[in-house]
Amino acid sequence: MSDSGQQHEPYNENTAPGYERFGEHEPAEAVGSYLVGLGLATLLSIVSFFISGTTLVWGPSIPLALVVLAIAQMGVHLVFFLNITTGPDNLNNIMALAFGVLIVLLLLAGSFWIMANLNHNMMPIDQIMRMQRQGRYSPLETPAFVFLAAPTFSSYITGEILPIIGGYSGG
Amino acid sequence: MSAFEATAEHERELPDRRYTPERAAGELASKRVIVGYGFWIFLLSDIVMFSAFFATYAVLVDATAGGPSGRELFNLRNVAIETACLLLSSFTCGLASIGARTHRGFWYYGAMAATCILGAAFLFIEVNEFAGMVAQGAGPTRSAFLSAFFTLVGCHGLHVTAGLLWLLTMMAQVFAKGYRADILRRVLCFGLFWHTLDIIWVAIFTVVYLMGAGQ
Repeated sequence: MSDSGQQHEPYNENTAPGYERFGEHEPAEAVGSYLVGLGLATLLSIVSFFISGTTLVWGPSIPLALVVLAIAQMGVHLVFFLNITTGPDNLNNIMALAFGVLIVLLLLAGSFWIMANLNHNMMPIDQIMRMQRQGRYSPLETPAFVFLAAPTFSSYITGEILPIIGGYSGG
Repeated sequence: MSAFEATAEHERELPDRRYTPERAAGELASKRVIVGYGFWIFLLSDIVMFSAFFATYAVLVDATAGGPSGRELFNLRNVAIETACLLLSSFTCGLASIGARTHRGFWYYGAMAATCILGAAFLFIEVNEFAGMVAQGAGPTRSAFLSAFFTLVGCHGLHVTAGLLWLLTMMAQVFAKGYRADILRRVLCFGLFWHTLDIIWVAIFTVVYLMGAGQ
């Protein structure tokens, strides 16, 4: 019913994302908001590109600075281009965004954590080879995952059923 | 009997509280809010999908299998031009949405055409970059790093391609059907989609290109 343009919405307290309220005859206000966003985003992008190649700051701090700049620029895009604000009419949009950010953080942090642990627990293949050459590892007593990972042990297997009785501590 | 009377009296005292169909319709969110919110949920799920590609890329970035690394492959000058194209197109897309809402054809078609040209320029540079990498033997099959790179950046490129097709469709629909409410809702969703692509590009140029070239 109240769907055509800027007509009255008597009880409606929500705003669609990306929908900026402005008077029908003053679209200049809305353009101003996009201009501010464009200026801030351009500034942050230029700083990002500049800082990535600079030797003015301590090298290892650059990735962290880039991440902070990127998050700031995403915030600028959300506020000035997507019109996600902290006002009460944006509560639903903010809640959905917060949930999305939570899932993204879980996914990223979980992936890095698991993969770092895996690399930590996996013995490098060349180290296994060395131990095998020294007679400290025979195929019969290797854990199943090492057995499968090392070509010298498992490359000759053809369609055998391999009982997985090993594991990290079972070898 | 007396209970019925009490109810009737209660309703007479507070006529505004009566649940009429008109009031029920007024309390519903407008269709624009519902459509915009639903599309916002879809975009957030798209961002979650991209974050999985980012995690894959970050885990595999050092797995170059003796092949070239990002430091040897990336050309930051091209990336800066791509960034400028997408950022400006996000701005012109915002202008187009204002033009559509105020029914100003010159704004709408002009800004949409500018968005289209900037998006096409972005895609042209990206496809050239991909073709150059494949030609020098650094295609997606070369190493796990390059597989992850082409998946992540290519998926964004596919989104931009879909966005361009959508953009042309929206220009044609406004031209053919005018500034109808349902067409304006589609223009709103297109704007959300295009702005979100720019947000994902910010993450790509930071994580993939700037960190990759600066290592």
